[in-house]
Amino acid sequence: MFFHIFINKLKILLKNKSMIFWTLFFPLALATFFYLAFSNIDSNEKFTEIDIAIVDNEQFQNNVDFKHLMASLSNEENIFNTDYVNIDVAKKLLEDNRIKGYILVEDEINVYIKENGISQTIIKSVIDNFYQINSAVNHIFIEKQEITNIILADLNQNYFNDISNDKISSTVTYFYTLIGMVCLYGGFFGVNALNESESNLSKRAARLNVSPIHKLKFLLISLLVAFIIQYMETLILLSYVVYILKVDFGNQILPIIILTANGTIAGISFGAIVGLSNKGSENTKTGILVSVTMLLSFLAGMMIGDIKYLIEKNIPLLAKINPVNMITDALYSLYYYNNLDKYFSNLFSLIIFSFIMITVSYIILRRKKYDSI
Amino acid sequence: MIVFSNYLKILKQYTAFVVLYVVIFTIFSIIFTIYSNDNPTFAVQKPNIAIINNEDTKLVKSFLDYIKTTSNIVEMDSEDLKDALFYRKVDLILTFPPNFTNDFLNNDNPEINIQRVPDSSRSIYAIMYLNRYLNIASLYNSNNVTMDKLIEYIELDLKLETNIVFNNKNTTLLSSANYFYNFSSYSILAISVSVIGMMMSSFKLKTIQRRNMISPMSYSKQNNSLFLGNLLVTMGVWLLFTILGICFFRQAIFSANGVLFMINSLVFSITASSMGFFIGNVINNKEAISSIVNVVALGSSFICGAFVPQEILGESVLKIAKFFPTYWFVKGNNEIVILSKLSLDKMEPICINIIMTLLFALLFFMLNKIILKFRLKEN
Repeated sequence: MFFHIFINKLKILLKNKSMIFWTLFFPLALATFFYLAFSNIDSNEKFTEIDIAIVDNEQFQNNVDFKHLMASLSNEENIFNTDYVNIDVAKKLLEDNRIKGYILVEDEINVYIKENGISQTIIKSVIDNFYQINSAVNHIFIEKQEITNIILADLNQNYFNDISNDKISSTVTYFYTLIGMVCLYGGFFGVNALNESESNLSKRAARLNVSPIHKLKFLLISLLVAFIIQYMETLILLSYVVYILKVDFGNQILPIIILTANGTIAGISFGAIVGLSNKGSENTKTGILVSVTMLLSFLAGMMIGDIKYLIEKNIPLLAKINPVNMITDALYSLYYYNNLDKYFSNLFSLIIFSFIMITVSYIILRRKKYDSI
Repeated sequence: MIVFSNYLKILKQYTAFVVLYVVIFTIFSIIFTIYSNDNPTFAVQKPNIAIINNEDTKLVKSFLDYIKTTSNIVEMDSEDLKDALFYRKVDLILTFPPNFTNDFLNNDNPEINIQRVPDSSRSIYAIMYLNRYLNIASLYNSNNVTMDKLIEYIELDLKLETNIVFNNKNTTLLSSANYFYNFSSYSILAISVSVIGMMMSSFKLKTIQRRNMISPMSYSKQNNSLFLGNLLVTMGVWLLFTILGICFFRQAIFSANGVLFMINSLVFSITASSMGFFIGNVINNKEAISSIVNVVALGSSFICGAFVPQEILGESVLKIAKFFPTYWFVKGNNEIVILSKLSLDKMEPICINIIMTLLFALLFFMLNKIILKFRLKEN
């Protein structure tokens, strides 16, 4: 009997095209879009040479120190990519957004820009430096009174030692939220399982309940099939993201496998609650499930990464009870943290979440009898 | 008329759906507008710096004062800093060694540990000006200037600034409007394609179409009514987003650039409708339509630059994007923003993008014609 129900349930669910689309193909498509759209975001944040122009006039040629400085910044330190042009060309370049700004040496040095930004700030800062060092040398001259006594120290010494963690890509969390969303999409199967076994929810369930099979047995088999299908789908998505899109998930495979299995259980049990929550059609319940999951994914940072951080810092309770956030946060901690504390606390929350959902479902489900439906 | 009124009857069912998309879109637009707060005057960017330090010497104090004037100081405990760095709320975390001042004055390899997003522009800039302070201090120190004098001089030195000429034509509001219109492409596409697609699939259901064909009303007349209905949806969607645009960016919309934005979005709405018309004619299964709409609308918005700006997208991605109308719509919007004077040569790129968008509408229109002919024969 077990195999009979098991195999048939498996066949029915696998043939449900729209359900398989939403739980497997839609997330795969989203992962691909994320990959295509985000592949350059991290490198965009990195510093690249700033395009500038210098008006090559007589004053610039006469200001030997400044000329040297600009040459060294352009050629040796790779801070600027400099064009030496006349004033009209410089204006045109700025207008067409080909350069961030141009420098015109007159009685003093002027910087022409048309937007605010970090590049413009760096241009200004570099030229400030020129004035500031000149001023420092003047001050030392006042102190020492004689130019030959001045000791010129190395002015390009670096006082900073970089101990950063290289793994700090800002886009990985989008993929983590996606995994969280897919786990919760297990709810599709949870809704279906309940609808097919609760006599007041569908005609097929009513028929099934008068058959000589134990209801709990049928329900448990349905949920088992749901788990198997959804977990396989999650693993397919995970493998696609890790091995084909090459998104970094850290190196700890076992914790990820355990986490996603728990996530899937959480999703299915959440679906069960949605399935039991009202007497609407399966479509209505799926609608509720999709909107709630979207909202939870949004709060976990799927559309705007900063949202997760903002919520964790300002409304920590909301972050703690959101299952998509628990999964995202656990994956994030595996990627970014060196210890497993945060991972375990999230895994534990996820287990509690599933436990509550399952207990509530059981309480609603048990000992139901109908005189008429 | 009877077909048209029936169209309107079915259309009513989709009101909730449209309202949902508009609400989501409005929320996102508000977030975008809040995020894009640029200044009309030149403002130096201030990196966010967190400092972990236990020393309290004159030199360190003066250095910290300098950091305070040039940067935003972030105060958090060290565990929170790790998360803050990941989410780019902190650009640089400085950890002073215990004997920094002594090491510095004796030139004994003084090093401050830093954590940052590797090679980020903001951290590079911060390191640049922090090194500058220490280098000038070291210059004074190696010339035996006393500590008090050193601090006094360095404060004077670092006050010197370059003259900035800022030629901003107040494009801030325009670039917010640009975001708004780029982002609207997703909603316009999703709403038009789903609503028109669903409508068409209702009318083109085999049994219903066969019944309609034996009615005394001519086939072309029926189609014209449907066309009129679709036109109504298109104009409705366009009007909705134009009104939203006016609500958010009144000044930007009532300008030459704003009018171009409106024209561009009208053309895009027409293209989106013809796409919906096409999809509705090809596919009669409503569930399949909603799947396709989601994939097409989300996918094209992601790779065409509606969500992530086009200049950040990779070249190969943009090559694929050229096969979608959204790409040309977004590119048109981006060109409209940089247009400062209305002159013929500057208008050219905008016109090309609008024409490209229109060509897609034409393409779907032609495909529709072919399919309808094919269907007619089949029936």
